[in-house]
Amino acid sequence: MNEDMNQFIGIFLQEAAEQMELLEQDILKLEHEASKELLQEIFRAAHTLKGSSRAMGLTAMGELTHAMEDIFDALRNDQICVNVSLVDALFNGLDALKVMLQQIAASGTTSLDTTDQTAKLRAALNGATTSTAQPQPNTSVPTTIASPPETKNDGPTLSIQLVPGPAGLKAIQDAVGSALHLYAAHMEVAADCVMKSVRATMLLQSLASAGTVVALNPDEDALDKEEFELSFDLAILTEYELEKVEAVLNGISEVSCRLIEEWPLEAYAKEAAERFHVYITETEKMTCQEAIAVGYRILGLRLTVSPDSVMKSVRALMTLQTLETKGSVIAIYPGEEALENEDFDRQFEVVFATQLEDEALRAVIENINEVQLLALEPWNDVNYGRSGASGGSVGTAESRNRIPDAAHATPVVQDVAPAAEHATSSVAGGQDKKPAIQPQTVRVDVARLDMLLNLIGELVIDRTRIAQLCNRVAVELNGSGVSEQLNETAAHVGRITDQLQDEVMKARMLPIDNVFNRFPRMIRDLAQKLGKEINFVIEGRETELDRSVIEVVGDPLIHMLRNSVDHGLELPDDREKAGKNRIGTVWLRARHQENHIVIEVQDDGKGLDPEVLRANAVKKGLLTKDAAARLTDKEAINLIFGSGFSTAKEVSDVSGRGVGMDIVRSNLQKLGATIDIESKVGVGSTFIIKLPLTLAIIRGLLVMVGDLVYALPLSSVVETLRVDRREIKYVQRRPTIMLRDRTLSLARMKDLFPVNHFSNNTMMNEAVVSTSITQDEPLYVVVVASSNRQVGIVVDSLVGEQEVVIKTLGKLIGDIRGLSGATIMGDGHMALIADVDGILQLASEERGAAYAA
Amino acid sequence: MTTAMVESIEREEQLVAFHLSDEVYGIDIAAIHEIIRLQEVTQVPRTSDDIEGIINLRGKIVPILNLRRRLGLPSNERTQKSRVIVVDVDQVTVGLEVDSVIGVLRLSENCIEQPNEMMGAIDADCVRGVGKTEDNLVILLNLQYVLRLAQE
Repeated sequence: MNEDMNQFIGIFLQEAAEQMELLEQDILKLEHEASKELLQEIFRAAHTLKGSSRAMGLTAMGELTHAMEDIFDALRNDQICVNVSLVDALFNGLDALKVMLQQIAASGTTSLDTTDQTAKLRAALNGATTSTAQPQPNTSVPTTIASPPETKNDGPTLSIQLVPGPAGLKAIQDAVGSALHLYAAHMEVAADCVMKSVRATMLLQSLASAGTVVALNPDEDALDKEEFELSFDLAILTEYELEKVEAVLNGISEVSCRLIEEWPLEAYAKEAAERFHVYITETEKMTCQEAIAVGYRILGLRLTVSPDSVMKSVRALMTLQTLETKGSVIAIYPGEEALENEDFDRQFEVVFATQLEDEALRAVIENINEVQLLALEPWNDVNYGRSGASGGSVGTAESRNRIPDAAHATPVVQDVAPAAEHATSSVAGGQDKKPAIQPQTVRVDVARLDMLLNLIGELVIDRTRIAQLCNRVAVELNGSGVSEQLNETAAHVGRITDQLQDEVMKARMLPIDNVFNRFPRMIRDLAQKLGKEINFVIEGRETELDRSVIEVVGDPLIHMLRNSVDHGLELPDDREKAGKNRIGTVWLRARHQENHIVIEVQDDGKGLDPEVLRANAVKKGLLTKDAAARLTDKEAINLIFGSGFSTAKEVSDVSGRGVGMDIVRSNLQKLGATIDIESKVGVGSTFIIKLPLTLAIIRGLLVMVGDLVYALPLSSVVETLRVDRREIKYVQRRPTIMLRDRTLSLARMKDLFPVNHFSNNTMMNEAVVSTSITQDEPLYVVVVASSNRQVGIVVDSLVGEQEVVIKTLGKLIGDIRGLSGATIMGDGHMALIADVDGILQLASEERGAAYAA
Repeated sequence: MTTAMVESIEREEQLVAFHLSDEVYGIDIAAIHEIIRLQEVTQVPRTSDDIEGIINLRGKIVPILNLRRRLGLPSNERTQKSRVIVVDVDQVTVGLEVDSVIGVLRLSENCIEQPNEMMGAIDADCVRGVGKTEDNLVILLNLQYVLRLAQE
């Protein structure tokens, strides 16, 4: 790969990954519903991938995608049917592609040998082809997929003007030599018809059963949007005779076929390939006329990028740029966007206004590397809005150089079709074709969004600070008008900051489908491997959450789903014996709940049996028999989160060795998430994960300990208490209180978070720190909980509730148990953000230490 | 070999020199972000002894390393002259607490010697060389090493 390419590789990798993701999802769907739309989408994804990998010079990747594309092509043409081995081969190929992509990302190139995968794909294709022997493999009839939206409407042939788009053209070329007929029809909708688009759509639907619509003018989009007058033209490839087609065409009320003619397939295929596809709209036509008036000539250019060019889009755009210096580019085919996206097949066309002589222009184009000029012709039909007359590029000779006089001069029309209607339909098509749809989205670098969020974080801090300053000003100025105005302004700034924060947070939101979409494939593979039958249901895939959360939530979910499939669901036979449906169901749900995202993984398997779990824990020596017996069912179920705990009798290569749930929980806790299990023996289990919407800003309860302020994530705070010291009992030397008939052990924040004794700051406080809990004043206790464990944290005082922006303590300090970072408060002081899970761990360790002492 | 002629052609190093105890230390000027007065430090529990805590440097949280303790030198009372040198090393921003800052020092490369056993007091790996000035020896710190120690 040369230097030029490296700058594009990032874009390529990203786009390729997207296409692969799409492919994977669609191939999965393919097993259930092989609809035309789906096949079309798949085909397009594969085609794009093939194109871009070839453009990047990744031949092996191109070959492999090509093989896949062939299968999709055959599928959409109904030459073959979907079967398991076909899907397996496709997945096999897709996996290889993923490996290649990873290699490319890592080293810029790939050395993976894909001949095996390619061969498998070819074999699958051949196997499927022969099994459903079709007489005319390339032109099977009952499809409607010849991509009407892509259809470009161009130059007149015979009496009806239609030029097929690339897909339609291919269909026509493929049909050459077959028994299919090509008919062109001029259709008219009744003038008093109320819903023209509905009629048109109905017609297209009814035609789907008759053959393949290869060209449509105006295109399907325009028809859908009613962007046409009363008539439209279409070309259809079918095995029917003329009368029969005409009958179908007239089969919808309020639509009638005004003209139908059979086109010679071969000649038309040849001609259509040669014709200019570019056309100009009404507005552009006027531009042309103005240009002519000031001495410009309007030319049609057909250019091609040489086949060995690696970045054809770059070449094409360079050409346009060069042309712009020599005149004015009026219209491009395919659109500029398509050129940019490499969405063209080497050739592109331009309508160009210039004062240069042909030879000079040729010289200019010759100077552009890797671009050749295929055709240069005067654009003769400024009035008509499209190229050429009946004979295509050659046949237009006599009409060339005609000076445009009247705005609606009629082109060469040979038959009954009224010229005005041609003009209208072509204009309608033209207007639609012009890329009116501006991109609605902008790609933004993730780093920039992160930066934005950081800045907002600063703003949030300052907002709090300003509010505090306002209070001080109010006191000092004692209710003067200035103070009031300041307050108002501050409040406004505060509101705007809130909104800004909201908006930026939203900009960082992604639908959770970004994570979910990889699971169906995984479940399918697992089910095959384990011999289970699974119905996998995803709900709420559109639920949005912050990018930071999306990135980290995937792995825990993989573990949980695997767990459900492997341990939760029974084998089909066992299910049947238990009176259940052979097919087990796994649900994956996401939804918003207040400031959280709730994700549930549910299965209707055998459920977790507390008795088995207790026995297991004893057997593994994790608990004594007594201790196990004392556990509530809920606590017993939570045992599965302990390390080294696996309930599966055999260790499978799917769920691993019982480290899964342990890791799951610790990873989730790092995110500030909680996990809960509901399970019923024989009925199934549900794992409920509650995630914060974002990881960057949390609401915290500020507490004072010594001269440090800590922020406890409000999501983990259960309640705050004032405890009379006399209520404290000692259980195993640990202070404990009774809270609503349950014991709550206490831990002093000071003991959990000892500060260095060296520091000059706190030398004085040492004496205070070591005072024990025996004096008379009440204690402030914050009850924090996580995954069914709770502890009361003794603090010096409660400061208040505040939104805090989590900042890292930096690499020098690194991870500290029980702390997740620090934040800057409104007064410029810093607070340490406590991590409740860490605190619970520290507290239980301390308990152990106290017990041992 | 240290004629004036040769010296002027030799590459020079620019350092910021500071005091720790009675010794003079130097840090490459390129690593230095800024030098600030000692401000209120928020302690961070459960850290090693030589982490003084964190400060709020205009909205950014910067950890403060007590360089004396890190280098194993006897501790000293803070004075009016105490400063924090904020350095950026490998994209890690750290404040180094020092006794006082002397200023910028130019040292020609051939005035710098490899560290030797003379440096018994502190970990030899922390030292990248010893520079000789007219009236003093400057211990050049290897910041990467000094800071990496802290992370372990």
